[in-house]
Amino acid sequence: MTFNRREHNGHSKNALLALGAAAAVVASGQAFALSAKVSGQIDRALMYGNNGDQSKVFNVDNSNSSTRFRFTAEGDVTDTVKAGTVFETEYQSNPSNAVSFDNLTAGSSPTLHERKMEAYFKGLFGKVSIGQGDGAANGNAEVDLSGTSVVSYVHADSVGGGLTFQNNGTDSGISIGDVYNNNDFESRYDRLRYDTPAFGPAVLSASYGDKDNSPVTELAARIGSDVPGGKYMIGLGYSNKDTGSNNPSPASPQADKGNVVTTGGSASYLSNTGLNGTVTYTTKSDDTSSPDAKFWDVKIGYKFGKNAVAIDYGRSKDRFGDGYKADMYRIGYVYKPVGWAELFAAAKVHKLDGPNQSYDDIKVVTTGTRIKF
Amino acid sequence: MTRTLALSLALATVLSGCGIMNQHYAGGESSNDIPEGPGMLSGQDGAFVIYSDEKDGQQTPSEAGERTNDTADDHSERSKDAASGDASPAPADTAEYREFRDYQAFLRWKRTAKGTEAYREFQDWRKWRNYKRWQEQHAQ
Repeated sequence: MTFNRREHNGHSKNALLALGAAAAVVASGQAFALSAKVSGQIDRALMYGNNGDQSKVFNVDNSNSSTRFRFTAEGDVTDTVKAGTVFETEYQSNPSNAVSFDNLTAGSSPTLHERKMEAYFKGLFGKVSIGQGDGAANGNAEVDLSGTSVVSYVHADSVGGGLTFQNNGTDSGISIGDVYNNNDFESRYDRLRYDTPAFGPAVLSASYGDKDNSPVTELAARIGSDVPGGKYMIGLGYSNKDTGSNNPSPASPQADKGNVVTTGGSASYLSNTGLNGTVTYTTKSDDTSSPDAKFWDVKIGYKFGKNAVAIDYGRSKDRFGDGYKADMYRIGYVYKPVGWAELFAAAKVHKLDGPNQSYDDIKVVTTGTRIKF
Repeated sequence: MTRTLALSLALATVLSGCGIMNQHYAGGESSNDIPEGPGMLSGQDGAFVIYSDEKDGQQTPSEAGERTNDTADDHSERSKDAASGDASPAPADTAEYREFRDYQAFLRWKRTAKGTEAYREFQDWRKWRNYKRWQEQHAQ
């Protein structure tokens, strides 16, 4: 315990030093331009699910990109340094990843759910952020230039994640969300994050913070550029969640080594012709319980005019347990009649094979709209 | 794992060195974030401006005239101008200043009203005005 406290104190000291440096920069300046803005979106859909035994139609909030709003503010504190804040929260009635065949509605009423509450300083030195927000690697396993991510998100368990597989009419209790996940690092948490200035097309990032009562460290690189004939994006990341360090026991030190380590990334290329391709690959190792999980997904798409269509195939292996293999194939379509509205539809099939056991496929068809207000 | 991480970082370094193309993306947004672009009610900016000190008219008319296509990326340049003391404050009660404030309001409307009925009517009026000028020139 003493060791951990010392470790935390060390990090706190580093955080204070970073904030002190930022404050020193700010103190030398004078406030100039200031602005504060509000924006948000509504993202709703009808979702049909069928597991071979049961089928239902759900009226859901699309968890691929949930209904949310945000307040942002930014101002010049010197001629080269800006400071800003982001307050973003989601408000989902019937999240598409939470409904199930037993529950047409998820929860009794929607609640505000935190996404980002952060303050930042940015300038020639890069960007320093503190508060609840994206970890350095968040989103790096979700890079996608196909224009279909609102309905064909690589995090496929966001739609129908609560639907359960069955075999011979018996509900297995195993849901899509239990077996299928793209391992996009540690998402959002309370952290201190640093992003370098752009080195050519690349930005390197690091973050340290706390999530689920465990310290989290993340490193990441994002690279994107126009190239002859098109453009590309690449995201790479590493995260380490130290789940054992808060409860060390001298009697069984081995049991305390609870690192959950995720490594991988994604890359996407969009040709000027509209053809595009995206690949994602991640691995997740957990010292304490689950076996190492692997995930990959390949997507090919085509954008033309106000339309975008894509097909993808993904596999999530050993996430639920050794020998469990979950596959997903899908087609998604997005029509964007104006800049602020999207109409979308997708159909997908989730397959699951376990040790000496196979389950009936789950089919999910979704259609809806996202409107930015 | 260490090898994968080392390979990833090496790839990032190599690609960073190839930064000869125009930078397209170096941000931190996830693909499921609120998308960039216009909003149904908020217009081209995609966000309601609840406060902006530009509304207080801290720019001079000449500055605003040069920056009718202002973007967020121009903020640092504007700040440099202000910091260097080149931007002298405008007198608050002159007719010229009031006209400038009206002009600023017009620019804000022009940025946010695209696609509305009023904007289409404005475009029609501009065509009609050009037609009238053409008519007058040819009448002479």
